[in-house]
Amino acid sequence: MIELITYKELLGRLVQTFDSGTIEAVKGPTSLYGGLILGLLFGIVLQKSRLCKYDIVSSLFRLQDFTVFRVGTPVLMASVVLIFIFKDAGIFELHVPKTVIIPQIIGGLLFGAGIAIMGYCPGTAAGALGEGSLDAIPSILGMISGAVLYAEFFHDSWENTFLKWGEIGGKTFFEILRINHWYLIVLFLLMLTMFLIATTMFDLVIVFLRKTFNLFMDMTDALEEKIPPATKPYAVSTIETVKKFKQNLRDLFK
Amino acid sequence: MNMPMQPSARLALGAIAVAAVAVLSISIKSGWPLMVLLSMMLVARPKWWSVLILGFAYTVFLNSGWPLLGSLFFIATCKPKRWWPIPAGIAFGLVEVLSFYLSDRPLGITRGYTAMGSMAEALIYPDHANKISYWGVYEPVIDWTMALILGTTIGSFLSSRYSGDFKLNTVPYLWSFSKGKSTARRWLWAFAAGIMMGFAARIAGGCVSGLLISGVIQLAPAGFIFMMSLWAGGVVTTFLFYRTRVLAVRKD
Repeated sequence: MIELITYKELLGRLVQTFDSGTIEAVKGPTSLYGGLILGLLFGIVLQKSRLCKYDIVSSLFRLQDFTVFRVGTPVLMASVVLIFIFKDAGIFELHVPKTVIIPQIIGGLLFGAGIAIMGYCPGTAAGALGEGSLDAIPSILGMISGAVLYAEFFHDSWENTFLKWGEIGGKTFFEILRINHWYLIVLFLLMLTMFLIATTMFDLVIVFLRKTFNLFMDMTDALEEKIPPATKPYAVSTIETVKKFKQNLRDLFK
Repeated sequence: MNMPMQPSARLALGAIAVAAVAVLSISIKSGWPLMVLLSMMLVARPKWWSVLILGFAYTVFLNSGWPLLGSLFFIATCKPKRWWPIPAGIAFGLVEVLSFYLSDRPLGITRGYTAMGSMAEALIYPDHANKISYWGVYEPVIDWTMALILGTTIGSFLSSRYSGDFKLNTVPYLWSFSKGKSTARRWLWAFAAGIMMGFAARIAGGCVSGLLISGVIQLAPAGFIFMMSLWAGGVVTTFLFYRTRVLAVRKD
């Protein structure tokens, strides 16, 4: 016998499938499923913002195309606000990285040189491998062997000398300056907004110069995807969608 | 997929594969091999209905509504090849915050590579690996960060395959523009730069995601120092390495 249920009960059952137990199960810094889910989201976002393409990252350092800045600035703006709201509400705590001035300056210079030649940073190398850029494989192998090299030959002798030069420890700016962190956040947001406007305008200026005076030859033009105008594949009518669906079914069971 | 093969042969091969996986699934008493096989459908036919079927299957299998919700979200948002920078950046920021909430740690990738190195050494030469003090911090265990790397690769693959952006290539376009089309040369340079980058990440204590972004969003001096020196090093190296053909490119 089939029992008819009311829509309220149906909704209740639907909500029950989203119970908080599933979130609790993937919570915590050691959960593999949590890492996998975060990684999936991270990969999708990296791919959609085109950060795992060599061309985009390299043309940032060639001062030709500031897509990375235009993506990166909203990242900082959104997450700095949300993180401090959640921290003030007591939902999670901060995990501040340790500051050691000299090694981080030298490490940053070397890291920048690596990015300039390789075109991927560690996260986007994994994304580029998923996107089909096979030159991410030697990059990843190189990163692994670089870490092994450091651990084998350098760590023991540098641990108490070079890696302590200019050590501050895990402190933030507002702890050093002893002021309320929201003043700094507002200042930071203002700076980032200015920066975003400036980079966008600089992009427009480059486009303008290129179009009118034929300066800055077409490096970035080739990078833009050739999207055919008007007829987009993802804006089709229902009938066509149904037709395509039938065709796909036929293809699948052929 | 593009192999020239008779439909009947293809069907027979598929049936054999399904039977083998079903036997494996029953013998280890877990449904995961079958689910992975079903996920291959998305690789073969990246259409909206296959994503929906897959989400529904995972919802039934895991007895949770999240996969279906996720697949609907994926269908709705991932069809275009790119998002505009600002919405993409805001989504990126939400992922960062989700990492703090869900896993109680910032997103950091390089730790996974270091642990992979540690694991490789422990597999090849365990006696020697025990003596190295640094591997006490990075134990040779499959942990959260490796799952993160695997997830990043899978997520990027799904997204690019679904939007039709997936393309196998060995040399990037802009590299072949300024350094030639040789694959060996590109791969050797990438390997050398990778060694430099892994080394630098170990000195500084993190990479772009683990030190720069997570440092800056918590207003730590480490992130700002690393950001400035990375930018300087990158620009200087670009102008030294790619020399002449940086700004003025001759148009054919």
